[in-house]
Amino acid sequence: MDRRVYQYYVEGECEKNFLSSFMHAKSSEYIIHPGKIEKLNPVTSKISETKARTIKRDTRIVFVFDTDVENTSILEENIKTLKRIAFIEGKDIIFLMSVKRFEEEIVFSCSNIKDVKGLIKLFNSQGLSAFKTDFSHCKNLEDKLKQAGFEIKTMWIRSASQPFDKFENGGKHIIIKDN
Amino acid sequence: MAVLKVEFDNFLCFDNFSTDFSYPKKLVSSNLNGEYFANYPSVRYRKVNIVVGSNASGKTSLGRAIWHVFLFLKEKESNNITSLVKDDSRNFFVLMDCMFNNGVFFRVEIKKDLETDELLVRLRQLQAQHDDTYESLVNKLDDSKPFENYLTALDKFVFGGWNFAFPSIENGFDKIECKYDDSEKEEFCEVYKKVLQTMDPTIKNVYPSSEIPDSFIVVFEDDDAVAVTNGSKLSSIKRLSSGTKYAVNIAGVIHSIKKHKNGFYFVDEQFSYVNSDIEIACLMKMISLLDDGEQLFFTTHNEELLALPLPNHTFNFISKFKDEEGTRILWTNASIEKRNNVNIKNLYDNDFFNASPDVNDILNIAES
Repeated sequence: MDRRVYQYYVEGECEKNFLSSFMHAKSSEYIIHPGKIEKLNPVTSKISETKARTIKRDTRIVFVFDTDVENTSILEENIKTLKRIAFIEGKDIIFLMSVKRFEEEIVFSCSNIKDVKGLIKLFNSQGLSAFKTDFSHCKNLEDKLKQAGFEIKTMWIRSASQPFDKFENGGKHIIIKDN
Repeated sequence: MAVLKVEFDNFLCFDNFSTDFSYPKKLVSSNLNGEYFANYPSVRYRKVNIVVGSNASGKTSLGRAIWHVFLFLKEKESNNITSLVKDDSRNFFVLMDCMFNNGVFFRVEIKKDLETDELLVRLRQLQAQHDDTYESLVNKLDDSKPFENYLTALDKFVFGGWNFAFPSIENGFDKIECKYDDSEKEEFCEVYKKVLQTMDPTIKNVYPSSEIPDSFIVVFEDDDAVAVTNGSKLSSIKRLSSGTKYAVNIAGVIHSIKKHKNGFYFVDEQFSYVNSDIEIACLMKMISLLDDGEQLFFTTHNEELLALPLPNHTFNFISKFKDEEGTRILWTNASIEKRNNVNIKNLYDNDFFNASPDVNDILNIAES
């Protein structure tokens, strides 16, 4: 396992619970590299210089976000801040881009589910909003998603469309074999 | 003596809190010898418990809770327990499992009678057999034994043998404790001198005072000298730096373990002002001096300790978290990571144990 610190900036509670669950996954062959998780949408919220100064040297930054917006200017500004203030190199910034939204990214990785409706049904949720709450509070996410044929290694591997096509989708950098 | 399990509810900051200090399986390879009772090799307990947590996470409270239960068992005074109950309008519960070196295992449970406010205790003891495990001892406890008035339950129960070192800001712990018999003075002085000189190389000598009772004289290179006197305030020793003031407590614990005077040691943040390498050296000396059947708790903010080559189950993480049920204490033992070749510090740095504080409120000061 990489000995560096991983700092995740995630768009919402669903991503936060998903990452946390698979960092601690008990039975999965693959896990997500452990790291600190902070809810901060890197596409819409700026990382302040003060915050950047608290990032330790050699940290890998992982941005987790949806690609259903048109503007990447704040994301690019955040990258500049990290490079300038925290001395983070470009190769150490990883993008986990959901195509287009997080729930659709999950559906893509579930062989037994065809669409978001199927995912909502899996969680017995009353609509998308309730699903997000249920997903973000789910204590057995790994088992739940397994029922839908979930394969984590297919998360965040697809190319995103414009304007995010300039970034590489980096699932392979944080999804590692648990050995 | 070792504590094998505690449960606290509505007691200090603990609600529905439970953790144990045993481990179920014999470790394939461990560099920490004797994590079991000598004559009862299957009663395995965590000999060293390093507790890491942020500020106000409950580290000192854990020490105070255990200390007060110990005091209660020894002095049989209800105030030792009732003064720590958080909410008087509802019941509280305390459970503690302990075992002595002679194989006497006991479980004490404490609560109050809601109607009469009487303090009730259920104390169950038994003598371990050679092949017993902690689990088998618990199974042998007599469930039919009722709770009784605490004085009746604890009548004839003899308990003692511990050493708690809390930060000087805690009530009663600003007093220097260095009262030793004449036969021990030289030996304590030698330990004290070594710790003190490591912290402050300008200290030339330390020796017992022949004029002031229960005092030690610290002599500096410029021949200035200060007396460290039993009962005086730690904060009153002006010449010593913040860290070196703690040397007397640290030396006291090391000396106590060296002489096996107590058996149970709780060292709470004695190293906040002390260099990390010195803290590591003191901890490792304490561990190496621990004998069979003794147990050490060591709380710290120093995450460098997590990189030390100790069994994973040595490391514990304590934090407070909020959920629908309110604020609760989260206790995680590093044995959730089964691989011994994984660096626990690296996992901690990556917040694998959910013990990192949220610092955003500080970072957001004066940010628009």
